[in-house]
Amino acid sequence: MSARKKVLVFEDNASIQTLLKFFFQKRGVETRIEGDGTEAVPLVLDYHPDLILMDYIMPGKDGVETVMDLRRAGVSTPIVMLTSKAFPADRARAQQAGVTAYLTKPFDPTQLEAAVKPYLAA
Amino acid sequence: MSDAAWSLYHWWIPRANATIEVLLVWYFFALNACYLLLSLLAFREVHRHLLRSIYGGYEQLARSPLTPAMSVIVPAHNEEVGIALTVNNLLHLDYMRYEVVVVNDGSSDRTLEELKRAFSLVPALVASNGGLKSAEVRQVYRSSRNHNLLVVDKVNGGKADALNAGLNFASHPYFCTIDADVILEPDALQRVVQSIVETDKRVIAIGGIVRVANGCRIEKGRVTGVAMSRNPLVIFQIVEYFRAFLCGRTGFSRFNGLMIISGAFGVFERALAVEAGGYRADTVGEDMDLITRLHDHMRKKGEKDYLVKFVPDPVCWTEVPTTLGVLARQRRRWQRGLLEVLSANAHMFLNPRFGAVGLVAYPLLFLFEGWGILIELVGYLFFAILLERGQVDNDVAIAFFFVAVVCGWALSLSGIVLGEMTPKRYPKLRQVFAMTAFALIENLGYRQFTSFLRLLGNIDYLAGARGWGKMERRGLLRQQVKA
Amino acid sequence: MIGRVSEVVAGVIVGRPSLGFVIVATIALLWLVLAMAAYLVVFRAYHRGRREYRSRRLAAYQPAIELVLMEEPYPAVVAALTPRLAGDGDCVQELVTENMRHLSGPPFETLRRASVELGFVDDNLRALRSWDRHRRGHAMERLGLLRCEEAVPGLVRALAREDLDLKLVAMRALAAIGDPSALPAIHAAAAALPPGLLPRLASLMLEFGAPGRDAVRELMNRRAADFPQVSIPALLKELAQDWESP
Repeated sequence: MSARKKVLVFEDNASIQTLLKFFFQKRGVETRIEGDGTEAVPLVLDYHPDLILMDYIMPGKDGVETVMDLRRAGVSTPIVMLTSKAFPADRARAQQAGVTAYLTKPFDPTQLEAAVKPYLAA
Repeated sequence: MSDAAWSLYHWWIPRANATIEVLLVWYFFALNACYLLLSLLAFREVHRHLLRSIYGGYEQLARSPLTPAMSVIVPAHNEEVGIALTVNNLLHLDYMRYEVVVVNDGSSDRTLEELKRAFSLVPALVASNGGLKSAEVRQVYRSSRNHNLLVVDKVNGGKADALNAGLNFASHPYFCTIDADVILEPDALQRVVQSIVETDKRVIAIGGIVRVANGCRIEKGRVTGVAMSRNPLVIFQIVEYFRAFLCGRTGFSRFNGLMIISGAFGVFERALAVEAGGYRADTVGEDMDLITRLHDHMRKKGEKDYLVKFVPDPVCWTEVPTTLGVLARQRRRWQRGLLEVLSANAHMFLNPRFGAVGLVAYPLLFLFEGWGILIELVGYLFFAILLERGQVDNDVAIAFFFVAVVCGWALSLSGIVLGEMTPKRYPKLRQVFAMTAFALIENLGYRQFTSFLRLLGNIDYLAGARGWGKMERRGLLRQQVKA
Repeated sequence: MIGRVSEVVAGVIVGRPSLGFVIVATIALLWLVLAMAAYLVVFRAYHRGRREYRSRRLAAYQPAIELVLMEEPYPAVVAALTPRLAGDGDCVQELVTENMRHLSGPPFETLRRASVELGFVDDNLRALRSWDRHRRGHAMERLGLLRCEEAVPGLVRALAREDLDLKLVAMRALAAIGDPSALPAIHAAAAALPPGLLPRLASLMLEFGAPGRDAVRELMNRRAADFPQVSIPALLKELAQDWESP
């Protein structure tokens, strides 16, 4: 019997936080939601999530900066980045920083499921 | 008492009594009535803006590739205390495409080191767009972590000079100037750009409301809670700022007569500003100077279809002086700046070629803000003397009381009312009452004090004073602002 | 005391008319300001009360969103969204449209179906003809968020007759719906628009994808001189998408 999977979400918009919370709840995944990326590294090292969802634009610390910090700290957890629009240039920057997958908002549960399933498979 | 003073006191003043009294009453009436009329215009404008902003539409604007990109230029001099936090906040605004250009104006402290440390700066080979003259640029840096941060390190040359240097390295069609010790609202650029893009005429410059940060709850360099300081000096200034921004500037912008936006925040068309010669380094009122010169430039080109706008939304928060000494220095400097700009643009005075700016704004500023304070002070003194001698005519005394105090109160009240119609208003009713009370009390001493300071500013100007004087930096962002 | 002051003022008016005028004018201005202040106090109190009431009602329907995301059967969702008290309809619409902003795929379709069934679409279509400007504007905005194609004719008519502010709202709504049949009407509206707003119009047209780009090209050809210089490079860059390698 495998332990429940854990997901750490970095997203500052309240509506989207709610939507993600319900999405993962339905799939029996434990979720923790943070609105700010400044304390990301200690949080991740402490919580040991199986997957990280990161919003591209957040107050305080930029999504890509947070990803860079996490990778530099040796975190190898897969990171899926959520963004409002896929600017080609910024996508390259995100991938350079170490983002595993890239998803655009508005969020379609079927697409999100397809994106996260490989990382949450038992 | 000398002979002259004696004869003035005992002979001339009582004789001239009648005429002077009426003139003074009419002056105060004209002053307050003009501004009250402006505030009526402003009321309509604020109301309209309020209704329009309900529909938002910011998301589409933010997503659209056609929304103009902006360069945020931050001149910094000896800002080691708060610069890292300020710039970090500027890198996280609610805006899609923009860059931040920090200009280190030859700081003698560790400003540049702080920036290097916080943003992993590396020297970059960036060519200047040229165009504007500025003091020597030593090195330009890019951040290896943030792709939209540029730091220009140059020899000291003053704020205007630093802004020109920043303009030389900015690359977007619009630029926004912001002081390093000011907190910018995250959605300020969005709101401003909406007013630029959704206006039928070309907007060449635009400003917003500057709010008082003293006493507000500030977390991580952002204003998270609107509150009012308990310092009476600060509350007087809060009332003043509302009056100035909401009655004066919003009113003037209705008919494109705006000559001042604010030193703390302004958005301009970059190419046009460069074409007009950038900022003038030899004046302390460089913000007002640029706008007036933009008006001048456009009119000289023969283009009348443009706007200098004012958005009645709060865009930034600034720390106001909490002591009389710092306030005095600030007001004297502002007055000097005003007079410098007025004299440099004297050709606009009552010149129909300059539209509302020449026919209405310039004369109003010249008379009521520039040299009218002499009349104001003479008025106060005059009545003080007469009162002392017991020679005041009842009618005139009452008339004077009404125009000076009641009218002034009405004007400040309209500023407060308009202020409460804008976002981030003061939440508690008792704060509104406090402002109302202070608006009344200010006529019994504070207003006279600031008029006196402006007189000193006039004297400074006539005596040929120059420069910014000693500036105090208490690091608005690192520590809680002194309430 | 007021009696005494009016006595004195009357004396001034009789004795020195010019000063009297000044005083009376001042009093009039003061009353004007006090009226503004009273309007404001009432305005604030009303809106605060309204806001608090609405957030309480909104909270009552929040569980419906959970049902949508948990992929519960459709009838349960509709039942949860059905307005219970008078006036709740507006709150439910707000909740639904706010969430539809951030969703796409199956949950979006569920909410959309529910909106049609609960009559929200019809309500908003009717409100397009309301005498109250506010209601019209909100209706347009909501129809855009609901992305319902039935609204396109109504919005197109609104585009022709409304004033500038609401024209922009209508255009945004049409851009959100994305039905290319609206493009000719938007193009026609451009004729009446001042040149300063053309880039905004173009930006909204681009939301329609490829047909939008064609429309922008046509617009630029027709009114080349009217487009502000500043906006042209960005526009051309966007239009160049169609010529990139497949």
